[in-house]
Amino acid sequence: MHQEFPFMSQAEKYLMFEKESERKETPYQVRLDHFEGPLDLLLHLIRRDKINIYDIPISHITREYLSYIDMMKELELEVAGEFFVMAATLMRIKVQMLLPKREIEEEDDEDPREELVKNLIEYKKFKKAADHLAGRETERRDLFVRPVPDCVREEDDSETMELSLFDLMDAFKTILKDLKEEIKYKVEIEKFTVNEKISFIKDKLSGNSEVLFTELFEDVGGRIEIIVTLIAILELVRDGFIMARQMSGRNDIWLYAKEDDPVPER
Amino acid sequence: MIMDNNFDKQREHIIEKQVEALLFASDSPLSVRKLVKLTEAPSGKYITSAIESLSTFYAENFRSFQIVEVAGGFQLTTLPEFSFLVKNLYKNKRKSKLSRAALETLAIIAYKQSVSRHEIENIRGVNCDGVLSTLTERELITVSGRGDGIGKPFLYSTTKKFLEYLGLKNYRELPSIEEFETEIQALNILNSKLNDRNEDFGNEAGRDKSQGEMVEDISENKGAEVKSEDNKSDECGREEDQIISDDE
Repeated sequence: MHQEFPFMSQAEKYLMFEKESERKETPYQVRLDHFEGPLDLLLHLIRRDKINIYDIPISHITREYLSYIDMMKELELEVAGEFFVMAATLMRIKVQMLLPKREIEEEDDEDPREELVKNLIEYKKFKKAADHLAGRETERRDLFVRPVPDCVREEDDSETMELSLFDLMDAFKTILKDLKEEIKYKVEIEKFTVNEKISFIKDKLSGNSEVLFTELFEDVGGRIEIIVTLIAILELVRDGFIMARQMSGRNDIWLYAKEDDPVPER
Repeated sequence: MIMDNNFDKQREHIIEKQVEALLFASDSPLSVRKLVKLTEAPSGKYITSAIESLSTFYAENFRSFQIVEVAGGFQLTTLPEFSFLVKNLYKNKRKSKLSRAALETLAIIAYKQSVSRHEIENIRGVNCDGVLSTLTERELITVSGRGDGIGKPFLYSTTKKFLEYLGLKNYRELPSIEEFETEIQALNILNSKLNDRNEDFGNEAGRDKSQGEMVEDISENKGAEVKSEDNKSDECGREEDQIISDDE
């Protein structure tokens, strides 16, 4: 493998072989600088050879593509699995195109390249969009705004901590303990649904930006409603609609609505 | 009536100062609604006219800062011509620009909203784990919910900070994705025309013709390689080509 680097001394080669971690790191970075993935490489080849993206000469592109992979291997870059998947796809398309026309028509009229072209265009659109964002980023970075004043930090995240579902479960246990209700063994028709509770909580949070965990259980009648309420809270947390926070060292848990950003129209 | 008018003027003047103080002290854009609430202005009109008159004042007096509209609010920033100066102040403390991979991922999320990692990876053709956590750390994206697919995957959306980071007033300010498609199509036509011309002028272009290439492909192995020797300017060189052709 290392003969490809004649400029390297034996010692260097040895070092390269020894330092496993470094060996893995360097090629990875090189790969990043060049091609992010197979689609990226294909788009590069298409641009370089001024190819009509809607009518890709498959055998040419396959050959160029494979030669790049070969080169990457020769340079001892780690070639990610995705590159081989794409190589297989390209060869499959090539074979399909070599098949007599009629046979293909019998199955369906599709150009075997269609899906690949679709993917390439889709990716390219977002690459263009990324260019646009990059331009905006550069522009915006020339404008400076004032940082958060030190005196305001206190109310910030530094003093509160995000809670996990388990913390909520613990809090729930105390609520259940406080509930002075004798246990009745009776089958009841479900009066409360989780969805109802979810919209109840959402309503509550749309008015105020935050609500106490215990507050949600204030007017709650029985064990079932408490459980339904808890499930509703847990679901909202899981789906990322609300967040639970606790001031460190205190017991009150606050629920916050996640900031709703204006949703784009498209 | 005159009294009223006077009172109004005074009120406007106070609000203008209040708005200025708030914009100066805030670390993030303030919306008109929020400014109304804080200043207790009678309506949003007071706020917008205060911002207008402040902006004019800064410009006319050649101040070094301005008020910009961003992420659904207003923010005080330095003027771009002072960027070099201020950059030196923050020399090594500035966050780096987003990587290419991060920008692409961000673009996909910005245009799709509520999109799963799988969808993003399908478009980009590569694993996006690392990029997603970088973007989440920088608070440009957030988990906005969960999808219906197997394992209820996280769905990602962009945040308000995203708009702020790119200086966007709102999402409508982004060009539509169709615009990029049109651009791609136009470029493609231009490129393939150039390509056709190249081939007309010199058949030795060393490249497959898009038509009839299948036929050539078979007989090409020996002849084409020799033909292309002199004209190939590709950075990848001919050796690799040879290897592949031999394999075929």
